[in-house]
Amino acid sequence: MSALINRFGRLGLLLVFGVGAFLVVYFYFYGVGGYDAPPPTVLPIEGITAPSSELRLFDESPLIQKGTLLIDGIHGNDFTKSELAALISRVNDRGYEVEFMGTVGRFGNFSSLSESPRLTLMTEKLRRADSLAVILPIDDYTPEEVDLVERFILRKGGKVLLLADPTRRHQINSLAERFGLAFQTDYLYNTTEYDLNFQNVFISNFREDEVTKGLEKIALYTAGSIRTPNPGLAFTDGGTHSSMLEQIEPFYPLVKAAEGRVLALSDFTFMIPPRNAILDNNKLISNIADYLTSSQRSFELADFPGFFKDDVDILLGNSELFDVGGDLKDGLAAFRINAEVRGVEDITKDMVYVGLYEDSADVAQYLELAGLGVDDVIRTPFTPDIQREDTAIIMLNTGPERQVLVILGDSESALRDVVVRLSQGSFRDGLVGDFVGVYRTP
Amino acid sequence: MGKLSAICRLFSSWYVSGPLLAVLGIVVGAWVFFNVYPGKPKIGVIDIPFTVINDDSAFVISTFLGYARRDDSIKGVFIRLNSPGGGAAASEQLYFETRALREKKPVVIIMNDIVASGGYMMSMGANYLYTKPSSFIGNIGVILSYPGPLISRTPGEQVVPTGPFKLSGGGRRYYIGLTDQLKQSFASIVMTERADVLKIPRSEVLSGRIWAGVEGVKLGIADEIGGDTDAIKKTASLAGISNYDLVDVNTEVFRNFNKQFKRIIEPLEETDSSPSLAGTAGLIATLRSSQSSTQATDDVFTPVDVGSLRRYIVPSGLGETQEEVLPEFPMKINGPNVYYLYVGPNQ
Repeated sequence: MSALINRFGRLGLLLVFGVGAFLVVYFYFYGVGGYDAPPPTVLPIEGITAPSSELRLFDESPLIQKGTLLIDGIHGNDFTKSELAALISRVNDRGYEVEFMGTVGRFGNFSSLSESPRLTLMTEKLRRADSLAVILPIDDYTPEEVDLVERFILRKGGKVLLLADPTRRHQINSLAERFGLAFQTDYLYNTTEYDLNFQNVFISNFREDEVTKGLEKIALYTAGSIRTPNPGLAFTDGGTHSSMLEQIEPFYPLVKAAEGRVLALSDFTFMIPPRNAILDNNKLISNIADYLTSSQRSFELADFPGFFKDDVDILLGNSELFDVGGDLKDGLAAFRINAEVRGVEDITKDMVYVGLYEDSADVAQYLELAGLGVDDVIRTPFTPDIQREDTAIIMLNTGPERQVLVILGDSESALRDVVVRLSQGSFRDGLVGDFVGVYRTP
Repeated sequence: MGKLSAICRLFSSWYVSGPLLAVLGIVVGAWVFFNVYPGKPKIGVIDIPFTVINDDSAFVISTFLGYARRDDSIKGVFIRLNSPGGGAAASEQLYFETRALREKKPVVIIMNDIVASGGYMMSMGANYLYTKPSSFIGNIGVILSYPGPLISRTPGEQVVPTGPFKLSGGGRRYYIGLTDQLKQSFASIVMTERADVLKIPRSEVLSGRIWAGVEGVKLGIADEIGGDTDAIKKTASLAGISNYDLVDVNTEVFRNFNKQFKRIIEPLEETDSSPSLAGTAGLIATLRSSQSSTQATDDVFTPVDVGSLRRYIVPSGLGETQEEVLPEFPMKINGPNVYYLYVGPNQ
C-alpha cells in the first residue's frame, strides 16, 4: 500500500480504485464484448415489377352462317349479359342470332324459373336453336331437362357449350355428368408463371382440334379443372397446380364430350374485357364461336317453325286458297318469320306448299321422298291407308340447304284447321313420324 | 488543535489512508457506474398479445419500440409477439421500427400462437426468431380488397376528373398487378433478411402457406424452438451482457405517458368551462370514462387508451365518416385496402 501511495499519490490511489471498481462492476454486468449491429438492410426494389401479359389486337373474317344460339337464363344463371359481350359479338359476327332464355333481374343476373314452366320453355326454345350455351346455372337441371338436352345433342346433332367457374356458384354438374364430365370445385394456380396473379394461369398445351386451332398461349383467370374420361383439349403443365389436388398432374380446363358435341370450359372470366385481349384469348373465343355456329343440327316436323332460318315462300296449290295462305303468313309472322305468297317455286328458298289433295302432283317429288302417296287414299309408311275425307297431312322435307313444308288437305277448311294447329303447336298431336303428321279435320 | 494534528498525522500514514482511499475509490467507481453510466443493464420486454395491426396498434407498438431504442439502459429487447398481421402500411411501419431498433440493440422475438403475414413482416426486423412448436407462422403475402369491377365504369357528369385514372387510381388489372408488386416487396424483405438461413425457394416462401413452428425452423422461417427464458438468454447473449434486469417496456411507456398526461390535463380541468377548450373537455370526459372502466387503484399507473387520445390530438384524416369531413363530395370514397393479414380457413 505504501508503495502504491508512493507510486500514484493519494489522488491517484483514489482514481485507481475508483476505475478498478467501475471495471469490476462493468465486467460483472456486461461480460466481455458487446453488440455488433448487423449492417443496414437494403431492400432490392429495382426488380419489383408487375408481370403483365401482352394484349393483342385481334381481327378476323368469319364465315357467315344462319342459326340460333340459345343461352340458358332460366336456372338463375350467375352471369350478366355484359360479361358475355365478347362471345355474343363473335357469334353475331358469324350470322347467328343469340337468344337468351329467361328474364334478367334487377342486378343484371338471371332469375330462376320453377321446374314445370322451365321444361316447357326449354322444349319450345330448343326446337328452334342450333346450339345451346349453359353458363353457371345455379339451379339443378332436372332429369327431364337433362334428357331434353341429351336428345338435342345426340338425336338432333345440336352443340352445347357448358361454361362454369369455380369462383361462382353453379350446379352445372347436374347436366355435365350425363356426358361424363365433372366440373371440379378446385381452382388452378401457378406461383411462378402467371399473368399478374397466381390464379391467372397460362395454358400452352393443346390437343389438335377446331377449338384449339391457332392457339399458342392463353391466360385463364379463374380456371378450375374438369374431370373427364378422355384427355382434354387444353391441359396444364407441371407448374400449374390444383387447389384441391396437390399432386402434379395435367388438369383439363377445356374438354369435349359426347363425340365432340359438348364443349366444356371451366373459366368464365377470361372472356370478360379486357382479359379477352390477353395473349390468344380472343382467338379462343372466336374458336368457341366457330364451334357453336357450325352446328349441323337436324330438324323434325315437331320443331316447326325452328327449321326456317330465313324468309319463306308460300306456294299455293290454287288461287282459291289465298285466304289460307294469308293465315299461314300471319302465323309465321308471329314466329318472326317473313313469308310471302309466290306463284312459282324458288328452289333456293325455304318453302311452305299449301294445296288440296288434287294439287299434290305439284309436290310429288317431296311426297315420294317421304314415302307418301296421295291417291284415293292417303298412304304413309307409318299408318294404314287413310281415307281422304276430312283429313289433312303435313310433311317436312329437310336438308342442309333448304326446308320444304307441304300441307295438303281435302278442303280449304281442313287446310285452315291445320294452319291453326301449326300456329298453336297442337299439330304435334298428329305426328305419325318424324316428318309426317296426319290430321282428322272438322 | 493537538488532537486535530494527531488525526491528520494518522490519516497521512499509509496504513490508514491507503484502505480509506481504496474504499472511497470503490464507492465512487460503483456510484459512477450506477448513476452516471447507465448502470446495471436491462433487457426490455415488449409484450404484444393478440393484435391485429392497424394504424392505432402500430402507433402504440412503435411507441414501445421507440422507447426501447432511446433508453440507453436497455441493452437488448425481447418481444413476445402474437399477431395475424393487418394493414399493409401499418405492418411495414412495425418492420421498419423493429429494424431501426435492431440497428442499436439486439432484438429477439418469440412467436406465440400466431405470427403471420404482417406480424411476420414485423419480425423480419429482429435479429433472432424463436417459435413454439405449435405456433402458426408465415402466411407471407398480400390481400387486396375490392380491386374494382371487371368492366370499369365510365365517370359520370357530376364530377370532372383530370385523368382517366384520377378517380380510381387505375383499372382492375392495374390493381392486381400492384398487389403482385407488394407481394414481391414482401418477398424481398423476407429473402433479404433471412438470406442466410432460408431453405426454401422464393416461390415456396410466397405460397402464402402457414407453417407450424416446428416446420418453420426446419425451413428457415424461424431460427429456433424455445420459450421466453431461451429468448431472454439469447437477447442477453447478443447484447453481450450476463447480469441484467428485465424491464417491462409496455408499463414504462404507459407510466411515462400518464405522468405527462396528468401534467398537461390537471391545469386544464380547472378551466374546462372555457369555450375554447370544448375539445379538451371532450378529451377529458373520454379519458375519465376510459379510466373508470379499468377499475385501477394506482392513479399513476392507470392505463389510458392511447388510440382514443391520439384521435383527439392528431387529426385522423377522413375522421369518422365521410359525411362529417367532406359533406359536399358527391361520390363515395371506398378505395381499395391492402392487407398483410392471415384470415384463416374459416372465412
